Amino acid sequence: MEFMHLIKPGVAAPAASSTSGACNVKIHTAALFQILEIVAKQIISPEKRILGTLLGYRSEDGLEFEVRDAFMVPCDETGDSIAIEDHQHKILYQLYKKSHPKESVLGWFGTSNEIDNTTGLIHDFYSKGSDRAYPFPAIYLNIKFRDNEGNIISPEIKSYLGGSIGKKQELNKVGWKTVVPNNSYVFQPIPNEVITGTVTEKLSLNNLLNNKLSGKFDNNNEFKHDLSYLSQQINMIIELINKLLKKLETFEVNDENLELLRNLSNNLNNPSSLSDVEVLKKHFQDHNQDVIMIEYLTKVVKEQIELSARLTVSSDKSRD
Amino acid sequence: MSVFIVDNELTSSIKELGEIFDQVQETEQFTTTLSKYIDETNEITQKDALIKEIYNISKTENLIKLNDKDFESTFNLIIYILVELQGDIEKLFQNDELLNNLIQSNPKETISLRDKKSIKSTSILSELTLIFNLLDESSETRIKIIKAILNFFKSNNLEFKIIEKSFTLNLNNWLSKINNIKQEDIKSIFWEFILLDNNHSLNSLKLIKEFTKDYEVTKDELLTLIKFSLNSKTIDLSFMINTNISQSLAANKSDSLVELFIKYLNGELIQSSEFPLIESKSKILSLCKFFDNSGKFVFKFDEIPAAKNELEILIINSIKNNLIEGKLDQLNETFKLIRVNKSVLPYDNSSIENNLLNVKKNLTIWRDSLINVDKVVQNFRENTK
Repeated sequence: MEFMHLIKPGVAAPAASSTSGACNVKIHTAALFQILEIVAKQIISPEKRILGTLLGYRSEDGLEFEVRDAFMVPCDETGDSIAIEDHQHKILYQLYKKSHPKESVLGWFGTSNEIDNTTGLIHDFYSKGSDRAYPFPAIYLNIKFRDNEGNIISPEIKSYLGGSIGKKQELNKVGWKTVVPNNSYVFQPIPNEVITGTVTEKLSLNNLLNNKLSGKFDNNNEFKHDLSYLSQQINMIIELINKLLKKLETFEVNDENLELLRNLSNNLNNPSSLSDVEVLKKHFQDHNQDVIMIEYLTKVVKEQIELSARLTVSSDKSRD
Repeated sequence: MSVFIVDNELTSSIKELGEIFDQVQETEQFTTTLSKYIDETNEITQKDALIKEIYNISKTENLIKLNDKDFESTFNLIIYILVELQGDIEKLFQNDELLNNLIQSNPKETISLRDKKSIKSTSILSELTLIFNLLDESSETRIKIIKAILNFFKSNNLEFKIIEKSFTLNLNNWLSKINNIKQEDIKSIFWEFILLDNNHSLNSLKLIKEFTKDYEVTKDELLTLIKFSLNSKTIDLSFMINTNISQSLAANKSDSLVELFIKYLNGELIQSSEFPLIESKSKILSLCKFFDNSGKFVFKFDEIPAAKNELEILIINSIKNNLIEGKLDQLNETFKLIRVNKSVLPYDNSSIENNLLNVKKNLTIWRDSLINVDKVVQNFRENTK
């Protein structure tokens, strides 16, 4: 991290918590994929800005932001001004809110390579008004996917909070609308992390990667339900152990090797639980027999329920 | 990096600054003074005098009249105006005036929890962080700001945890990117940061290990390291001994403190009035060494070289500190060992060789077992088809 972050910067949002401490933005892998998909699907010129709304939870002390989903909001940028399709944002957010009542708008994401006046305008849009982050501070997630020459690069994610500058203006009531006339911000970087997915997500990702590497893109290529996956994983570990043994053959005393030796010595003391093949074979078969038995019983119960339903229907019919 | 986005003209921002201070002090003095430098066409006249005036307004005596809520946004405005007028953030910190004004705005006495008005230390810290982030990563001024932050922590007894994560993860990276930084500066900043940790945490010990991998360890640094680590609650310190520390230990082994530290690392029982924790720590380490050398996995209480009244608590503490794993049977007075931490020290060749042989042996057993497991799985697959 090239920047320093110790304390949440002072923000103008009325409901900003007074708790001082370091902020953190947690991005769920699903939300990140959603954002990257939005970015990747746009066939546009490098200058075109893509932006969208970030959804998720914020902690009570206002220091943690958990991005769980995102959607795109169309915009039209001309010169120094930008028109954001507020209506679209509102409809999509209200739709999302129906299925996720506890989540709210955390801020926005954008793809611009630099923070400019338009960034300030968009941040302002998300910091004020209903159905946006107001009265809490909005976060800004910058996804840089082009280098300065316009070539596509691996996405770099930076997150910011808009610190306040100058006078804290009073809120003005214009009809039913609340207007905060401050459009100035000091964008201060805050740390972010992509939350490592669950085991299922990791398996899916590995499967996708394997398909990509082998050039197959078959959506029906589900995980095999037999034990070949287990066997494949065992062979992978055997291969890793072989590599490790090869590395240890040429052991020289240096910091890196000492670290490795410490780790291995402290964690590889007693692997005898795997060595008794006969016991293992018995446990494995017993476990699998249990699984098959449960599967069989489930089927029987299911058939019984269906049979009972049919009997009820036919008895009703015969009564009529 | 931090970026200012202000949608006002610079002259409006200057007037705004005057208004803020006037509002606090209930005068018109600041607005009148600053207006003198803006003509009817809204252009700035006498830029140098205006800059001087803004530095005057930013004096501590004025800043401390602001309440905490307005302090950060006002100081942000001052920085923004001065950067716009002087053209470069570096120029603001060529002398220490602005930095000193900021740091001295910290209240001299501890403020009560109910006090919402007084400027908090964390607000000043937030401004120092902003200044750091506005500077280019190769800027030498960053050294000044890091030192100011560390001094600010030291003089105000702030909680180490505020600084811990960010500095632990990034200090080496920040320092390595600064142009023309001297090795002495890097070392002094590093040790100054480490010594702020009054809890002598494991994270700080890990950071010392990482840092000393890249720099030779002088005798003074070695003694600081030893004092810090022996005062920590971490028992097994062998993990932090890298080749540089090992060389420094060898070069300074005649020193009494170094001698004591080597004895501790080797698992000998030690007492010292200087380090209150060392006796209990060395007892646990000595017990672990006994388990490691014995080559057995089941021990009767009589066989373990420790006083009977403290044996159980020693074993429990060793397990709690993740130095051993095992099962204690109080009825039969036995202890079944599952795993013990090995001490791998760069200067102990025989221990390295033994550990290496053990690891290879265990890896081979593991691999052979996995091959057998795979056969079991294959066999089962064929049988169920």
